[in-house]
Amino acid sequence: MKIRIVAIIFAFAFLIQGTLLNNFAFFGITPNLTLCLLIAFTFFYEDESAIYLALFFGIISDICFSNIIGVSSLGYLLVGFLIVKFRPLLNKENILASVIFGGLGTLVFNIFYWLLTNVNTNQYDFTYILSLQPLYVISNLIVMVLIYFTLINRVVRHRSDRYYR
Amino acid sequence: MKLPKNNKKTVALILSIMLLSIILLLSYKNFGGSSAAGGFIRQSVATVQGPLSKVSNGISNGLRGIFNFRYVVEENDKLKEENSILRKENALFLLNKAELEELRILSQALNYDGVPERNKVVAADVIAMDGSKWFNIFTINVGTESGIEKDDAVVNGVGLVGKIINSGEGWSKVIGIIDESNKVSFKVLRDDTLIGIVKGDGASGLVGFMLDGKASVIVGDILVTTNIGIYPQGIEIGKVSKVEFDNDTQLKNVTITPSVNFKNIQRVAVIL
Repeated sequence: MKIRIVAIIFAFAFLIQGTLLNNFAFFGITPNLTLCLLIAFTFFYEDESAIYLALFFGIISDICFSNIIGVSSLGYLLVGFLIVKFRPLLNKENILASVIFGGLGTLVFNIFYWLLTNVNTNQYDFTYILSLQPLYVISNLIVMVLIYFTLINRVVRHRSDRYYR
Repeated sequence: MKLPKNNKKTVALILSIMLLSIILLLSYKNFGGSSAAGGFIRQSVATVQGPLSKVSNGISNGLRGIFNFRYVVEENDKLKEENSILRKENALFLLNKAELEELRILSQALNYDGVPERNKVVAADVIAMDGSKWFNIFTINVGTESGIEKDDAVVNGVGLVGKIINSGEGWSKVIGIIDESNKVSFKVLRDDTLIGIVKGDGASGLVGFMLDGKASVIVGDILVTTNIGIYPQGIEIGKVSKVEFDNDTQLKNVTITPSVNFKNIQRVAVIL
């Protein structure tokens, strides 16, 4: 998929994340659309442009919603790096792979986010954050499944594959 | 010498991490502060989020009417009753207002400066809210052009919402009182000698303690702001839901249910 289209999707997701999605919160929590898109695009496609876009929108998101800038971007970078490292191990056509990456990616991002924000503020107890993780994971997985069914038919086949036409 | 593609990616990754780390460290140092670039970005984002927020609130209110019809009807009946009581009270206040206006004119004629000006209030819409529970920060669509400054109090129809932490042209960031970093001094409405401090409990609620360990605060007491600190006096904070004496600190701790529903704030007012 062309990078400008991916950029538009990321921008749209960022805008509705802070506005429309809050009206449909699940026990006060909304899915992290930027994270879901990062995981999906990095897993399904062979290039890493989604990571750079997530990095950019992570900074914008921190400027708008947070007191500490750069935490989201570093979190997205970490998740993106891990996805790139481990994606050869799983079959992208299997929905379970998307679920596994979605769930683990959410946990990694949230724990990393808690670590970096708590250095300065000591705001949230770790056990409280852990108790919220099932909600975060479920809300993100719902989005991941929807993205899977949308994108799976557009997955790019590698050019060196001798059966590719 | 041309770098192989893998090395370019590694270099880009390392540079990104270094740049983000520098931004992060600067951000820790200037916690909550903002640069001109940050202000410009927020202003641009707020310009787009404003109309989008109105559309989403319209959709949400419409759907709420359909799915929670019975609740909406009951709420409507309750509000009609409350409205008629408030109209009667308002009529009495209007009479008092006329009297007060006469006294103010008289004080001006006598050059008496004892009566302070009432605070100006600016209404605003919430245009963006962080959907996670990390920071209880949201953005409103008014800013420095309306005279809003840092530490201005933010309220809504039921009680205290928070304070302004940052503002620019056409936008302001508000931090809620349920955030742990935001402490508020309170007094009990029925006895204003009972004073304490309240802050967020890290779980979207409020906890606090009484300054006097023997204070006679009880469950159900309504707490309001004092004139200590940045918040104007008399704004409702919440209701006491639990009282506990801590033998270690010898303080009486209170758990408070906030008056404001922080999961659904659409309109607020900023007190200048």
